[in-house]
Amino acid sequence: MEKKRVGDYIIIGLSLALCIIGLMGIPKLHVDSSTDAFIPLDAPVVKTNEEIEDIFGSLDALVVSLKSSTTMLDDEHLKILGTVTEKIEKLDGVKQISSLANMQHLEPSSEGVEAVTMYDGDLDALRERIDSWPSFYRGTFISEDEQTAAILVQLTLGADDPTLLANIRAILAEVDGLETSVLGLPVVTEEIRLSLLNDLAILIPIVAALLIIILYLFLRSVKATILSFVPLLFSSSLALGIMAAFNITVTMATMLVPVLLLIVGSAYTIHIFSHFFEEYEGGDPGPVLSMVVKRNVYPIAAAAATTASGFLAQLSSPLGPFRTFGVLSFFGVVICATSSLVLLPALIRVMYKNPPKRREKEERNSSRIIGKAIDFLTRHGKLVLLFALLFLVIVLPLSYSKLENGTNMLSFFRSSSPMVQQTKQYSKDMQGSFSLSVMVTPKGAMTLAPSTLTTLEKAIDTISEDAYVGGIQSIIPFIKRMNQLLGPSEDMITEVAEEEVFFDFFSMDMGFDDFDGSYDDEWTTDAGGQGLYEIPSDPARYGLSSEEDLAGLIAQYLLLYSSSLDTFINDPLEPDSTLFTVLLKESDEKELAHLTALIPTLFPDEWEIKIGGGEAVSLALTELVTKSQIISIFSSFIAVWLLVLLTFRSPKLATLSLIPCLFALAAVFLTMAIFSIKLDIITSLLAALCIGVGVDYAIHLLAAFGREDKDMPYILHTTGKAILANAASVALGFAGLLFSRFTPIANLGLLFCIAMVAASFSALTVLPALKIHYPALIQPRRKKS
Amino acid sequence: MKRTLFTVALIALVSTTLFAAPLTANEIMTKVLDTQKADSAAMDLKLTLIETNGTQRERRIQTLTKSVGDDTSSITVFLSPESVRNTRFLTKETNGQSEQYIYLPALKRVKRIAASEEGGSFMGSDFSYADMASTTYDTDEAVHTLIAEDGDTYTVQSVPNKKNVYGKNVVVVDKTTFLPLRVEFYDLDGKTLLKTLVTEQQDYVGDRPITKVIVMTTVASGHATRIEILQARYDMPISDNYFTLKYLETGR
Repeated sequence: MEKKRVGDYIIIGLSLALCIIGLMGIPKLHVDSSTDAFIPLDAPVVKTNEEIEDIFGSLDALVVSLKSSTTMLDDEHLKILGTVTEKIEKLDGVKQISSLANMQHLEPSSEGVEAVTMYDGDLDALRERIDSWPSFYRGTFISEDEQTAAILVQLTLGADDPTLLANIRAILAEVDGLETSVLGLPVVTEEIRLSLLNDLAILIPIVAALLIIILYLFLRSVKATILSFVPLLFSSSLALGIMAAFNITVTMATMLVPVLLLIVGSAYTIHIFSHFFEEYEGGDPGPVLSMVVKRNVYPIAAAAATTASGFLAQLSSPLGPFRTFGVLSFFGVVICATSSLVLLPALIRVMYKNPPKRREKEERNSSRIIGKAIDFLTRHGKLVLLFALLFLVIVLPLSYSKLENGTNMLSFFRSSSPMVQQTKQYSKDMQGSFSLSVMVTPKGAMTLAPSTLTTLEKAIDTISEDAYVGGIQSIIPFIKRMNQLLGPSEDMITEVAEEEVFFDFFSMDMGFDDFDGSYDDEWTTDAGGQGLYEIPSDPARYGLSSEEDLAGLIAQYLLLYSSSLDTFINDPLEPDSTLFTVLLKESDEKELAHLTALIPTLFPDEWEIKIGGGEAVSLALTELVTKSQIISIFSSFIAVWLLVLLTFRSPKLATLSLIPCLFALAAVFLTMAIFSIKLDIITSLLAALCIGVGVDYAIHLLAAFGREDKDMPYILHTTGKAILANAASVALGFAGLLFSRFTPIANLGLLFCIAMVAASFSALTVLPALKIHYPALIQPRRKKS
Repeated sequence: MKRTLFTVALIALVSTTLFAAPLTANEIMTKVLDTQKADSAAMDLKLTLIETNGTQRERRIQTLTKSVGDDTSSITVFLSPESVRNTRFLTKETNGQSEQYIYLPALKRVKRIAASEEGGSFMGSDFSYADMASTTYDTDEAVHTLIAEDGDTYTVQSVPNKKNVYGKNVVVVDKTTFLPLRVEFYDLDGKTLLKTLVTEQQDYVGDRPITKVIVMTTVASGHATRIEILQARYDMPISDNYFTLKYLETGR
């Protein structure tokens, strides 16, 4: 007896110590909020992005937007734009920055071309400059209504985004009288990173509070509620500790593990306590508890095994964080089940001496309801089965086919969040802040050859026709502008017959002291700006004889841009590749899929077209998420089916046990289709979990049906009630996720609630109806499980 | 014997301290400029642009420069790559005013190009036009401070009086040749390191020491440009007629 007590205290002490160690690991947790954390390193889009960034520098860009209620084109606001541009330019991590306040503008002069500061204090001149090249300035640097000005910030590779963003925000905080915002993928990633742990800090107490309420409602005892909660807290703390100890990155998927363990584990502790209360009459709880534990080892282990297998099915996912989530949750569930069978009994033995009060009135009420339910199923059971079958056959495939995919990170935030609002406003005013980067490598052709550039321009024109495309940034406008400024007017074209003189200051025939030319100070040059705003394509029009000559002319134009075009061409003189950026007003997966399929068709087959950028990652991730979902559904079905087969030794029962899972899935997909909830990196976890948790209800009922000494009212009264309590606790626990600031997590909470209602309801109607009307179907091989 | 040696060493040390007056920062920087100063120069240069991923692209240019007092004229001509071969620039700096012209061989025409800032990149390299003119300041252009000295080098900090492109330069000078071995270019705030210039190889043209190979690296991008002097001639007589628009356009 005393020995037993000491053992209990050791268990409790050890658990407490592990719990504290686990919680102490929280500050060490490493958070990665980017979708990059999900995408496999060997995914083609990752390779493409690396390749593009290797040549053209970081694809990460920020947009700083300044919005005035009047106009940005006045001295006061332009001064602010200048100050902000200048301050941001000095920050670490900024490679290049452009705004109307710091840009150089090329304009024609009487003798050629002049590079002037875009805004030099002269507002009229600034307007003239904008209007001289509106296609370049408007929509990119200033909105059509002139109320929004943008500062485009290109980041260096490996820039410290959080520090840079904090510094930019500090600069913007000093701006008075203007609405300011910072947009771009790094901003969204940073916002998620900041919110992730905060979200966890909010969700755990909310879910815990909800579970405590449920536990209390079910157990009607403060002491029992607290004791049942201890193993859950222990499992969650240990999961956090494992994450810290093994350097498991906190992603949006892995952060859910501690919360899920609280919810899933509650079912096991309810089980132990409800049976304990049924049997305990007072005095030493030891013998009763031993019997209760012995009787529940198998059901709890079976339930844990199916749930854990649902989690473990994520191992088949192509996404790394999902696999980590699966393994972590698997161990978490095992810890949860073990602590319910070891820690909870120890706590009960230490704390209990008197039996709890019984609730006979409620039992009478529930008996009446169960009686009516059985009566209904006896009379209309076949109709129920037909309806259920039709529901599954029609709704499941139809709703699944209607599912929309989407892993756009901005949609993780509620539409009312400032960041979403600002992005929407910016997309309305300007060309958009979502981007696809397209690297074009013309094989067998010169990049600066007019025919290459014309093909590029045609492709850009076709892409621009798409309603979602706000604008496209490419090398083309710069070439056209330079041709306009430096190119010849039509009447100036003359074939120069004289032989070209090649300079070589070190050749023998070019002495320095025997110059025979005459000094001519009167020699003049032609005025600039007489050329056409076009890609020079007709050699004859330019007094040249070949396309190669024209490519040379374009290279000579581009010499004057120095290195400022290195985001578009990998060499100003003889580039092999050119990059253009498609700016999108919205990030829509269907649209992205359409564009990425369309773009390669606009170029000759032999050219190499690579599509990268943040939105390409988003699209690739969407495809992987869909693949992951399908694989995990099938692998969890197979895993669960095999487990049930092992349990009942009957393929028939193993198949029937999947019924609640199918209903849960149908309900989830139907809700997603009706409310346009997208399948994303979080909601795609749902299907496998539904299967893992939903199958438990079928197992409990089928096992109960197998006990021939028990009739239907008794089964529904005991097992049925336990299923309802289990479903209620899991569903309400998941309802706590509705408080998440991330839409996908809130969606997960909502959908899981619905899944649990559907799974428990279908288990308690379809399976009893089958038992009543087709008893041969539910005939276990083993008499007792 | 040991004592004698020690005494000799001590006397030598004392005499160095007493009789060899140390150079001031201004004197060092004057010597640096004097060493590199020439009335005229012709150079054959190989520019290698080194991307952060290691990709290298070569440009070959020749320059012809003539200085009279503070006025400088120069012609730069591209020898390669082929697409810009024979593209020529004429730059004339007179009384602090700069004029620049380009000859486009494809159009066989000269156009004037005017830039309002001297910080722009030279031919897509890590050198700005100002860097190509000089990487150090004269004594009347900046406040020079000797901040370190060892057996082989002086380290001088130069804060320009007129901060156009840089807020501060730190130059490590070779005590023997008075050539800059390393120059650090800081932003206008004087704190952010923008670029570093390293002399990889020194050489002599006659008695004149030259920085034969230099590498400029832009810190933020990691992009670098290596300039190698393939051939050089200094202080030869050059007619002013070379630095005219007519010559730029016709070569005659």
